[in-house]
Amino acid sequence: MIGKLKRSLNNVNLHHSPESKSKLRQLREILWLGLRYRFSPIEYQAYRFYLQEKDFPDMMTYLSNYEISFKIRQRLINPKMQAMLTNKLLFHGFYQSYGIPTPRFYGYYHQESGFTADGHPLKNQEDFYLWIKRAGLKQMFIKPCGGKQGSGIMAINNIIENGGDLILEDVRGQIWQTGELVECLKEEADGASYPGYIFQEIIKQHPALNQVNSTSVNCCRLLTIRRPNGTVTLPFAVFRFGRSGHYVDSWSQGGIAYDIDRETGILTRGSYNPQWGDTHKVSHHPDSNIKLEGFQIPYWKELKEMVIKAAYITPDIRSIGWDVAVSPHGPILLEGNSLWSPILYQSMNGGFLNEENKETLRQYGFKVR
Amino acid sequence: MVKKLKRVLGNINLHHGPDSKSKMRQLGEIMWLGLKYGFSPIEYEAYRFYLKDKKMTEMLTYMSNQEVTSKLRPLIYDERMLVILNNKLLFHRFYGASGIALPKFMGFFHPESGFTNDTLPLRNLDDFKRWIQREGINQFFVKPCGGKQGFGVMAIYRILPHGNSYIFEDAEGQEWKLEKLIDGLSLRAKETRYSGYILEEVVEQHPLLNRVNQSSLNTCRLLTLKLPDNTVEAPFAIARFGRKNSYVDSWSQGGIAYGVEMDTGKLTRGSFNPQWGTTRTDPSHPDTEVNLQGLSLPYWEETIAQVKKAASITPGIKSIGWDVAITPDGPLIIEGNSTWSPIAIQSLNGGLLSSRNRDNLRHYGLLIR
Repeated sequence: MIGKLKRSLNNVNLHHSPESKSKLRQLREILWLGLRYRFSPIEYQAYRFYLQEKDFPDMMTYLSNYEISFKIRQRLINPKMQAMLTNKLLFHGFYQSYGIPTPRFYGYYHQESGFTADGHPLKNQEDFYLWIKRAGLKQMFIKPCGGKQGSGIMAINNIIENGGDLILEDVRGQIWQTGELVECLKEEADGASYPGYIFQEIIKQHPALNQVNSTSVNCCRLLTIRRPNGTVTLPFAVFRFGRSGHYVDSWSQGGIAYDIDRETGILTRGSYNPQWGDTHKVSHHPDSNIKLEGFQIPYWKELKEMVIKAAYITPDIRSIGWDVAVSPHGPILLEGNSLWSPILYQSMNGGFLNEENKETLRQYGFKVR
Repeated sequence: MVKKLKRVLGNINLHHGPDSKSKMRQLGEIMWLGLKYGFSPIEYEAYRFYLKDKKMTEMLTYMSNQEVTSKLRPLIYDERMLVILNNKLLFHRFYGASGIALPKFMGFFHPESGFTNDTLPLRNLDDFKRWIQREGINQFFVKPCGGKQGFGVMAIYRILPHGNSYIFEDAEGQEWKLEKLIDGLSLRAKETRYSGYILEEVVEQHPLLNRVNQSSLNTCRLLTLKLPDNTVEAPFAIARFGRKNSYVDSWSQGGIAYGVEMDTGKLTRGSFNPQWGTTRTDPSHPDTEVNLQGLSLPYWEETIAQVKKAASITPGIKSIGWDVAITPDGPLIIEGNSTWSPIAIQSLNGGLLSSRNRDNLRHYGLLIR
């Protein structure tokens, strides 16, 4: 208890500027919002509650991570069905079969049951070697079948034949021999909830997005909620860009996130994660200097239609955070998360409790403040 | 405890005949096998342990249901992956994507998120009417998405226009108004582990099997076991036939089952489930009198190849009982059961613990007898 309190206090960061509330008021609000609604000091900062313009009614439109996790999500999802989102093998098979574009599936490595997309076994070093030679693959993503939020992913950039063996080079420039790689794949990835690894194509992103930052696949994250009558709403949409030299676009790892006008697909306000200490608006990408305020996301209409369709056909999970990449030919569904975090969304789009979302929650029997 | 003992004692059926052991010996064996290995009196009878030629060494090659459930299953199942077999929607998408032959999937009914194959809504009466009209549907099976062993399955054999709606005729000739069917499905959609119902084609069985009994889909149950070297073996199979006018072939619901010679697909000994009070063996089907002993199942090689392929790509589940229908064009896998019952399989094929199987199971850590 004392440890938890200490940790919380360490995260308290009181702001001092002409736009900020007084430090005493910030402290009082942090304590009150924490005790009453379980907002953490990090959330207080992420949602910019310290600004004078954030009055009490505005703050009350936000939901704390605790409220989302323990009061709302629990009733919107059947935990038994989460496998279709958290198991990448099932995810791919399910959405692909309904015509939703997902990254091209190359194969599944598992010591007992691995198989390639063309129906050959993929259970050991020999299978792996024969498969790469047969398919002529040069690049691929390797993802833990039950991995979360990009953890444990490896991107192989080049594969060359070397005297009866293969040499694989990952994006960090590390060299692997087939035996070394297969040895790693025998172990279940840390924190993965399912055994095995899937192999997928490396997505080529749309030139307009590649121009902004070419080292990361810059993705859109959208939240969908399905109402009891089957209609799907889109309460949040955020676009993330990685920094030059980084191969992830994650906001928590230094990327920039932009709010999206959901009607038009045009980016509006952008910012870094406030945990990095910079709370200013970002109008241009800091490395490529491309103006992102007003930037049109390619294939926005198709992208929205795709996630609405995916959300509709996912039984028993009414609320999903989707990661979507945009290729030169259209949107590609990368991942769906039933355990989405509200921090990125609410930081960029404002509080969840607008009239439309309140109505959705009421339809599921929630009492909303 | 007393109730359980009473129930167990109520199931004891001591045999009297020139081939039977003395009643005292039967009683002694029932007590001893029950206390030491968990065999129930029903299993004692099903395995014909009461016969004089059943020596103790042979009896100990059988595994009791309790041993299979509590000792074997925990060693050979990764619980996380059972969803692939237990959820019929994911079963279809996973095995269908890997080229396994399955009955044609026609849609998913769910009052909140049902959809047809082309992802149009299938949630209510109007959606259903449109679906029947658009696709010209005349027959289908309705199966609870999380149902097991045929429970809750409904066969719709005829659809007739009725005013501006439809009337259905089920397998027993009973007529249903479409409105009543939809109300029933909507009401019970959330009763099983996974909500909703899948809609599947009515499978046409091979003429040879249809001749034996045409009112039921007569299926085979094949057991697969993944070996320590990750190859798959199919050590046992039974073929099941329904009785006249019954639309299920299940052994536990009155059907007759036959052992199958794995190399040739020829039927061997047949019997009813001893719970129906008879352990007599029948060379012919009791209603149509088609001689079954020695009959060769069509497409046997293909049937074995299909279940082996399906088992080889199923991660984390080393033993599965597959239900397979044989059509005029080849086998179709109806479902895979991780919790297969050993009773029918051992009754008709002998004990699971052959020396070969015992070695394989020992590899997984099963140290019994």
